[in-house]
Amino acid sequence: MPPIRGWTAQDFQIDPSRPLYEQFVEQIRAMIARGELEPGTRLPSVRETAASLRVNPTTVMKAYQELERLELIVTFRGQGTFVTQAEEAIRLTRRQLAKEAVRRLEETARSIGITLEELWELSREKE
Amino acid sequence: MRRSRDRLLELEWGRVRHWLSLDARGMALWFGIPLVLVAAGVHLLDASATPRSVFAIGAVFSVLSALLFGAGQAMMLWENPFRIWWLSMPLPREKLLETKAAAGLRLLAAVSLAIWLTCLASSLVRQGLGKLGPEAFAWGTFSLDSLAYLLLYAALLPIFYGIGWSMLGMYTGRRLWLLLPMILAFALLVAVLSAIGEFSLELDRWLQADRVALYALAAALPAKPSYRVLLRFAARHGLRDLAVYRSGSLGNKTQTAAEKREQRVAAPPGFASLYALESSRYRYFLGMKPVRVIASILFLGYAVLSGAMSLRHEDLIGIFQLTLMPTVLVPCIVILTLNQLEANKKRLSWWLCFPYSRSKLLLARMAAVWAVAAKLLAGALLAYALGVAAVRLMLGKTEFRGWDDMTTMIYLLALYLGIGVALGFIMLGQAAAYRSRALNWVFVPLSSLGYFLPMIVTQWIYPEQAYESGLAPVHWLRLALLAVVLVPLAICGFRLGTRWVHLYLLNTQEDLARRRQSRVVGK
Amino acid sequence: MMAQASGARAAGEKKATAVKCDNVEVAIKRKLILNGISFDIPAGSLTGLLGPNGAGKSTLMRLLTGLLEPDSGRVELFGRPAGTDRLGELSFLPDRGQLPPHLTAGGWLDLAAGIYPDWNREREEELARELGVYRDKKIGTMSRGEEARLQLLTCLAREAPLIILDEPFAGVDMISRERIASAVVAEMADGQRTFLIATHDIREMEQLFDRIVLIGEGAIRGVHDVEELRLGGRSVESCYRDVFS
Repeated sequence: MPPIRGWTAQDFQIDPSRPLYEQFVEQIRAMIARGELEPGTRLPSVRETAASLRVNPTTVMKAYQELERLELIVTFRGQGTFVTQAEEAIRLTRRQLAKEAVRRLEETARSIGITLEELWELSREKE
Repeated sequence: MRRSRDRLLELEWGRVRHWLSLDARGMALWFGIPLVLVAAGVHLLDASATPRSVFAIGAVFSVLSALLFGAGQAMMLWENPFRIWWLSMPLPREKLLETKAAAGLRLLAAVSLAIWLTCLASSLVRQGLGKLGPEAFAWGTFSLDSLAYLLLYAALLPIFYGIGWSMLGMYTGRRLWLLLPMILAFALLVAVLSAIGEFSLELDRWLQADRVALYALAAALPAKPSYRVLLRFAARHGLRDLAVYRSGSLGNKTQTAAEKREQRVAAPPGFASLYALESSRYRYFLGMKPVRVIASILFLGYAVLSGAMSLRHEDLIGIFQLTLMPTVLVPCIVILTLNQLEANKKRLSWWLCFPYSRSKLLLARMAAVWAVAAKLLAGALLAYALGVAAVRLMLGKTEFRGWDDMTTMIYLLALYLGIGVALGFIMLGQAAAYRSRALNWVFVPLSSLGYFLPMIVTQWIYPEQAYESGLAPVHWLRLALLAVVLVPLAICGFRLGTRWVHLYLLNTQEDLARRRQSRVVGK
Repeated sequence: MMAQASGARAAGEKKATAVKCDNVEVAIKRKLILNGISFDIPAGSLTGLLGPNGAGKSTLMRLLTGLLEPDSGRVELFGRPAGTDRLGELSFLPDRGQLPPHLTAGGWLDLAAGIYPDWNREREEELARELGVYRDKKIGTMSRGEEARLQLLTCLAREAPLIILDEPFAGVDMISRERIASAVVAEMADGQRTFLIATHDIREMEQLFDRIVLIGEGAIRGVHDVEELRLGGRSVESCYRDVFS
């Protein structure tokens, strides 16, 4: 039997003025990407997750559906929901996360009028 | 300090003052009841009830109301939601209680005065209608009597009010036994009440103005110190118990075997569980130690009394009748109080939301209270039988006349129980009075009529002369006639009850106080 | 299992409305408490009824239970008029309600199992464990939080399709609040039951709601789908503030 990962409300930082399921998707995705949720880990059911996080079950269901669409989790009938074993999907996610991070950094650089490379150089300059 | 006490008195007075306001309820209370009483006096009192004995009866009522009001306030305090706020006010404990009592005493003074005025009016009306002979009424003695009794009423009031309050200190431990003289005092007063009713020259001498003035003086001298001492007793012991108390935490501290049992036993489904829920309340209440003590004393006293009374036939039947009376009135009062209390404590919503029709809910409530009443009555009758049997064993004779008396007793049992059950159903309709205030004019006098029941019974249904002559068919006929009147009324009351019982939800003490307040502000 | 649940949910969304109020008016002692109330609640949802004290929430809930009748307008549950004859279909937790203090929790639950025809003893046992209710404790000696949990247990151990909770958190400690919220969520996960919850604990509860109904001074001040609010960058709390402050 693969390990089961239970959640607590403290595992997530939630902003109540943004769609909740998006935030769960983001944060679970990050957990999978950084290996905190290992491939093959069994996830708790919608009911258990909703109860332990105290969120509406619909929210959890939407988050799981989205993660399934991203091929990060898979559901086997009668057995439950698991983190994918397909390394390709995980790598894809890591790449996407890296791209998003770089894009945000680029925005920051642009906001102070320099390029990404210049930003990098600037930050490494000695005092 | 002085100032804060004045403010507190203002607060406490504000809590009772509304009883004096002359809204629909006030009118019914302060004019309706006296009017009914005066009218009833004209019909029910014969020439042997002199103005003097009417004043004396009034005195007993005044004393009883002081005693009961004090005891009632002391009892209500346990469930008062404001209790802890009150207890944490920065004043000496005695002062705290004295202030509350001072406000109550003001109200009682008004009640006492009203009783006195009612007695006065009753005698004047009877004189005006020529119901009193010249030997029973003379203006000179009448005015002297009335003044002397007014003094007596005033002097007795604080003493008995203090006695009532002292019950606050008799809640736990050995102090519980102090309830014994309390109950005896109460029983004595009730006994005095029926003794005064029977005119004799001997008695009349004890009730004359000069003697009464003397009693008043004798009562007035120790009135203040004894009032103080009684309140201090209540404050010292009661207020501490009060701070510890939590609703429902009293009674059998050790769990019964049934409660400890791990395995769960579902109550039988449906109406039976509704009934079980209702009767669990009385089982709990009757299991409490103070209640058990009081009940045992009452049963014992009752057995002794029955034995003593078994030597005169008249008394033998009389005391039997006396046993039946509480059975008639108490269940009715219990149900009305219960509905109000449950609404105040927010328990009524749960009950009303059980998936059953209102009639089933109310029937379960009625059935449970009457089952307990029947059980207690059976106990009382057993005590009665034992008392009489014991006297027979010791003296070899009683006035018990076998089968004749048995039929009389069965008749009386049917009569009183029938009236009691009918009255219980009728009074369920009182919930409708929340809907239309005018119904107060029906239900307030009706509930006070309950207290005249014994008089009504002896006057019209089963007069005392019949004790000797035994039952006649006419008595059964009267019972049947009564049923013809009461059964439709009972059905009416029950229907009104099922329709409007939820109105208790909107008329909790809190709601009433809030509405009263908004009216005051509105003015 | 998830597919089943989502199937049930999809079916739930198609189901008729669980609660429907149509232009409801109530006056108590000649004072208008509810004025032209119209809204509906889809079956299978968890709806929050939010508003300041004295807004008429409790009166509205009493209407739904049939304890009160509207002076005008219509109240319907699952397409038929509300009334005391519908009490078997709903489970109601009254505001600051109390259970008989002289009974133990177990004594009460045994009686309740007989009183409610739709009582489920297995659920009772499960919920008692989840909510931390001890059978041999006397109700009169319970803390506010313990009694609140026992009351919720009483509501949830039934199989009634509509559950109405009036201030289930008032005066309840944090741990009890969390346990209550968890039990509610777990209970609605299969999409079979509809919840209506009046509460002041918006922060605690806002992640639970599908919908909110805002009520103030006896009138509806807004009905929102919570996820839609969030798509517009608003939280339930900010929405409440906008309406009531």
